[in-house]
Amino acid sequence: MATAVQDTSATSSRLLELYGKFAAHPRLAALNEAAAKRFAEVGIPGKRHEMFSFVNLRELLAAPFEFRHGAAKTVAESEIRKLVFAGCEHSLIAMVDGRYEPALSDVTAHNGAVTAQPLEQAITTPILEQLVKDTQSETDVFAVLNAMFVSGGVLIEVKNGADLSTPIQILHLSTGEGITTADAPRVVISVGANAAAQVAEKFAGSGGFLNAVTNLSLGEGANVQWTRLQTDADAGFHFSKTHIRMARDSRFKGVAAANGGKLARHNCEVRLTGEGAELTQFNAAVLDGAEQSHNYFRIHHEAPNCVSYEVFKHLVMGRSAASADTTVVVHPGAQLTVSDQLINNLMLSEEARADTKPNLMIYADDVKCKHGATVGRLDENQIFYMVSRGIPADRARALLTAGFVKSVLAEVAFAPVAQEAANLLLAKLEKK
Amino acid sequence: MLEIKDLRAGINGTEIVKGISLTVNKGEIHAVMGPNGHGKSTLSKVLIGHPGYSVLSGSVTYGGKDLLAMEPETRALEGLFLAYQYPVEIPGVNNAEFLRMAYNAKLKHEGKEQVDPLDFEDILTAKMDLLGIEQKFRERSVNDGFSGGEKKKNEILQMAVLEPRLAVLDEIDSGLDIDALKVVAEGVNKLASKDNAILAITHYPRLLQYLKPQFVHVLIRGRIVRSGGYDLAHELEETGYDRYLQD
Repeated sequence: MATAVQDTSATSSRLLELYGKFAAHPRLAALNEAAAKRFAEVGIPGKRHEMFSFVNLRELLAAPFEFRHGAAKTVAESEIRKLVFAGCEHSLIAMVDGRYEPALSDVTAHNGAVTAQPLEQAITTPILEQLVKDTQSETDVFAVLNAMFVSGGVLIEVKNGADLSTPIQILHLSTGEGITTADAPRVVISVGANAAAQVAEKFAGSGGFLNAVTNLSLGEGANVQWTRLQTDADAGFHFSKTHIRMARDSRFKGVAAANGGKLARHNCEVRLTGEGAELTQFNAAVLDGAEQSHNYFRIHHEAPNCVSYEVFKHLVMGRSAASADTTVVVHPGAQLTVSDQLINNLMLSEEARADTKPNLMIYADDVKCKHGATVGRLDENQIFYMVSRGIPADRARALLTAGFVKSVLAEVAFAPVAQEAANLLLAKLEKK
Repeated sequence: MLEIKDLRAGINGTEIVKGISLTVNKGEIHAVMGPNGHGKSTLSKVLIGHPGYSVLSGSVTYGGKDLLAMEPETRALEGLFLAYQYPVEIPGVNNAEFLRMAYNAKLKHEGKEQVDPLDFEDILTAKMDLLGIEQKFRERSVNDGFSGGEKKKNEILQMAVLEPRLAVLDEIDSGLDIDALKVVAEGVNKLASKDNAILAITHYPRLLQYLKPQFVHVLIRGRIVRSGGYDLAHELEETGYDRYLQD
């Protein structure tokens, strides 16, 4: 349609104009430039873009947001403290308004096994080359925009063989209001060979446009447990992309709890590059009102004998909307791949929406790949079973509704995070 | 305790139970036996008040009250328990929490003070020890991923916790190997007392070797065609249901 084309080209021009005024950091200039080039190729997605089938971008793309640079608005340490998980006081990376804040961060709990430095100071040639390479093949325009405007990221390194007893908390705090401000935080984190680490990522924003990218690489035999809490204010636009690159025999277990927002979308791209790598990812969202939460997952099995297991549990109430657009790609030679994509939607209102699109692309012949999706209401047989034990029907419904997401939350190993995830999602059910 | 009079009931307009009369008194164990598809499960579903089944005529009095007029929840609170043939899996709902909720609902109905999770732990532990049920049952989700035998054990555990006045066991032996059958049957025997009653519904006589019911009824084509003592179960084991089906 002519109008849609006009809208996207206006947005493109506006963003390119902003880029023209953007003073890149010399050490990240190669990344910014590669992204600007890629932006010209990828372009602003039109109405029917395949990657955004379930996501309406119109309001966001029409908004006059500008990426923030330079000194962030000062945030009092006490504000940060309120958002820190118990036990993570000395294991904290603070990203404020899209920028790494060394003064508010502290990783001394790990006695040197973890380092955190401003990306532009610490970036090495191989890391920069990898980031540039990823950007050159990036298909998600939001991740491209992050690379175009990134200026204050962080580089976190977990030493080979380290065994961290405390999770590293990565706190994203945005203080903007309305969609005049946009933040482009970039977290680059590498977990060394045979290291074991927990990461607790928390997004707390006051309602602007967050456009985050995280690049995680796991060395051989590394073991990472990653919890992600999306708690941005309802008025906000939350876009994030997580790149995960997994070497031989590494393990990744992720649990994501999403509160939704005006528009929240998580794009997760995983590359299982070494034989024997295993990924498990659990996702839960509880949405009400007009909240939205969208997941776009691409898991690439590039080596033999890898396992990926994804579970999505989306509970939608009110006029909310959730989607899971997931694809597992088994590359040539990735024999003995085992993968499973399971998407369950629980719909508690007529106006709510839940979309699912699980896909498989298989280019190897000896693999075990499954996918399944369900959309449903509460099971009357389950309710009757409980009622026939004397439990009132409304209690049975509440128990079942909570149970739907609890099975995901039970996967969170670190108690303060598990508690907060439960408070975040289950509290919404109790209000009903 | 339970008096069924000329009960007719069915599902989707089809009459399956075609005039059953049966009286169960305190302290008694009854067995209703019959081939599949002759109304055994319909009888149990009607007693518990499953909304999929409709009563066409007749009456059921339970503890002096009209059972059919009670809501399913009230039936449970008044001490009626159905051990399901196919217990429902409830992922995400913790078994111990579910049991505590049911237990407290009953205490509340009886005007008693409810118990907190810690006190309930002790109650549950005692019941699990009594039945020889593994501790893992506590932390798992209700019947979720349980084997057939585990599900039936969990039904008996619920029965032990809720201490019903009348327990209806719907094919509690189906799908069990001999060891699981023993555990389940011995559990039921431990829970049977002079103050409660049991109505066991089964296709196979083997469960009855353990339960030793005083009363056995043969249910064919929706009617009780013969009633007798425990000997009748023996007889059925030898002759099967064929002679009743030929009539």
